[in-house]
Amino acid sequence: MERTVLIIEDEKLIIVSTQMVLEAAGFRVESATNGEDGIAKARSLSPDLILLDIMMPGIDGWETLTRLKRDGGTANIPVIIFTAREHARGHQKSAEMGAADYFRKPFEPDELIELVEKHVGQRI
Amino acid sequence: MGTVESRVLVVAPRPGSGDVAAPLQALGCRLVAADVAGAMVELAATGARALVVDDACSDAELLALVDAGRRHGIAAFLGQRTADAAGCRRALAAGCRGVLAATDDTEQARTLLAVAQDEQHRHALERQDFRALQSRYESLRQRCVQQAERFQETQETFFLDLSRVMTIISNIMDGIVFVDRDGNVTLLNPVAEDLLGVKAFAAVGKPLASLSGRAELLTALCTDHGRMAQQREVTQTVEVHHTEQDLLYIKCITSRVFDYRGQPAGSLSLLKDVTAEFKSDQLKNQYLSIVAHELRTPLTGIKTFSTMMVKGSLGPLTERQRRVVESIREQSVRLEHQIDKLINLGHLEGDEYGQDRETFSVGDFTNGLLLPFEQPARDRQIELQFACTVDAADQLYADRADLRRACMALIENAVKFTPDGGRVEVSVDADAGGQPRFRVKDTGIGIDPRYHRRIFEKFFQVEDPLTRHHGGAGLGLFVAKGIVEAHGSRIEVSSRLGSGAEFSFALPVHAAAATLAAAAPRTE
Repeated sequence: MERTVLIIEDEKLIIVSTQMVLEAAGFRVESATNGEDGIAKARSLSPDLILLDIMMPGIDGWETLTRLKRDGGTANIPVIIFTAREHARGHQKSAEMGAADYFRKPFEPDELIELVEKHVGQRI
Repeated sequence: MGTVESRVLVVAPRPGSGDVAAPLQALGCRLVAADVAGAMVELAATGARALVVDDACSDAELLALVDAGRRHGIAAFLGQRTADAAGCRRALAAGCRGVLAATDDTEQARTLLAVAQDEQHRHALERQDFRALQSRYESLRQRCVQQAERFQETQETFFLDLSRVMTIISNIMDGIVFVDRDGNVTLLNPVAEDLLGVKAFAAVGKPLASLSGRAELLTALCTDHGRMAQQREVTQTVEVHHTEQDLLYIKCITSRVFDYRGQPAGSLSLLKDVTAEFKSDQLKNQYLSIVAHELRTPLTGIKTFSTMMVKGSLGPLTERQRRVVESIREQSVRLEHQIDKLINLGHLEGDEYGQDRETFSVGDFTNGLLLPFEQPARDRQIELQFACTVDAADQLYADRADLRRACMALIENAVKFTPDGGRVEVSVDADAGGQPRFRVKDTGIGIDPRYHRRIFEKFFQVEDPLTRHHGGAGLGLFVAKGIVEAHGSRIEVSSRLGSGAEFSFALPVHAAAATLAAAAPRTE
C-alpha cells in the first residue's frame, strides 16, 4: 500500500526538494503552501504523516498543529515539525503540543527518510 | 636666729599675754607675738615652725587659725597658763596637735616641736605629690585637647566623605538598597524608591520582607539577600510590570558587605534598569532568527539536490561532475555551520541554556566532536588527539546541542591559539570524585593569570582588536561558560603566558545513573 506524506510548507523550493527525496524513497507526496490548505488536505487525504513548517504566512505552524490535534479527523496523524528557524525549547514545545518529532532544515536526506520511516503510519 | 625652723608664732587676742609659750623660748625658739589678723598675714608671708594660740582666743578664732596653719603645713597648739582637762578637750575639738602650758618643762616643749616638724615635713611631701599630680593632670589635659582636635578633624573629613557618598548615592542612575544582617533596610536611594515603589522614610529600619511595593522586585531582592550566606554575589534580571502594557527589566546585583573588622554587615543591591538593552536584544534575536531562516531555506534546496546527485538518485554522473557536485555539497554544509554560529550570537543570555535536556551516552556525545577541526588542524600541522578513559556507555543528562556548542568552543579556541606544529589534546577522564570531566589542553600561547576571569566576559579579547592575529567575536568562552553553568558545573582554567592552557569542566551525569553508581556495592 502506498504511503502518503503531506508537506505543509510555504517555500516551493523546500517542497520540491523534500518531495524528490521522499518520492525516491517510495512515498507519495502531497503538499500545501499554507496552514489552512494544509488542514483541508489533511482532512480530505488523511495522509500517513505530515511534515509541518512553522514560519508560514497566515496561520503559523504552531496554530496549524493545534488545529490538527483538535480535529478528530486529523488528530491521530503523526506530525513532524520541520523548521529552519530557531525556536526556544523547540523540542519540548513540539512534544507538548502533540508533535511526533522536531526536525531542522537544512537536513541530510538520509536522516529525513529515517525519521519519516520511523513515524509514518504510527497513528496515535 | 630668726629662721623659719625656730620661729614660733604666738597668737593672743590682746598683746602681752605671750608667756604661754615660755618653755619654747627656753629651747631657743624665737617667739613672734601677733594678734589674730596679724597671724594670718604672718602665716601666709613668712611661715613658722609652729603656731601657739592663746587660750584667750575665741573658738571661731581658734578654728580659723588651726585651719590656716594646716593649709601652710604648720602645726597649731593651744597655749594655756596651766594645762587643764577643759583645755585639752578644746584643743582636740579644734584640731590642734596638742596643748602647751606655761608650766610645761622643756622636754614637753621639745616633743611639741618635733610634732610640728613632722607636720611641716609631711606637708612639704604632700605639696610635692600635689605638684607631680598637677603636672600629670596638665599633660593629660593637653593630650585630651589634642585628641579632641584630631577627633574633630576626623569627624569633619568623615562628614565630608559621607556627604560626598550620599550625593553620589542620591544622584546615581541606579537604585541602591542596603540591607543589614538581620534583613532590615538601612538605606534606599531615590531611584530605588521609584523602582521598588517604596518610600525611604517608610522602609528604613523595617525588614525588607515586610515592605509592600513592586512585589516582583521585592521578592527577588529578598531571595538574593537570603542567598548571601552561601554566595558573595548574585545577579538576576527581573521582569516588572510597569504599567498595564509596559514591562521593565531590572537587573539586580546583590553583594555582601563587610564592616571594618571583616565581619558580615549585610548586603548591598544595585538595581539597573536594563529595559532598553533587553528590548534591543530581543529585536536583535528576532532579526538574526529571520536572517537565518532566509539563509537556510535556499540552503536546504542546494544541500538536498547536491546530496541526491552525489548519491546518483538523479541519474549517473561522470567522475568530474560528481567531484564538482560533492564540492557544492561540502560548501553547503560549511555554510550551514556558519549560519548556526550566527544564530548562536542571538542566544547569549544564560537563562536560555540547558532547556532541552535528554539522556545520552559519553560515546554518542564525543562521536564526531573533533570532525570540524580536523581539516584546519591538518592545514597547520597541529596534532589533534582524543582520548576517553571513562566508560563510553556512561550516561549524561544535558541539553545535547548546547553542551556540544560549549565543547566545540573550547576546542576551537585551543586550535586557534596553538601555533603551527603544536598539539591539542581533547579528553574525557574521571575526576577525583569519579565524575567524567571534559578537558582540552593545548600547547598554545597561554593566558596571563590576570585575564583568567576576564576571558569569560562577553566580547573580551586579550589581544588588541585592531592588531590581533586571531579572528572571532570573543563570544566562544562567554557562551561556553553560560552553558556549563546552566548545567551546574564550572569551567576551570589553568594556564600561564607562553605555556599553553587547559580548560576543563565536569560533564553533567544522568542523576539516576549517578545515584545507582553511588549505591552499587564496591567489590574489592
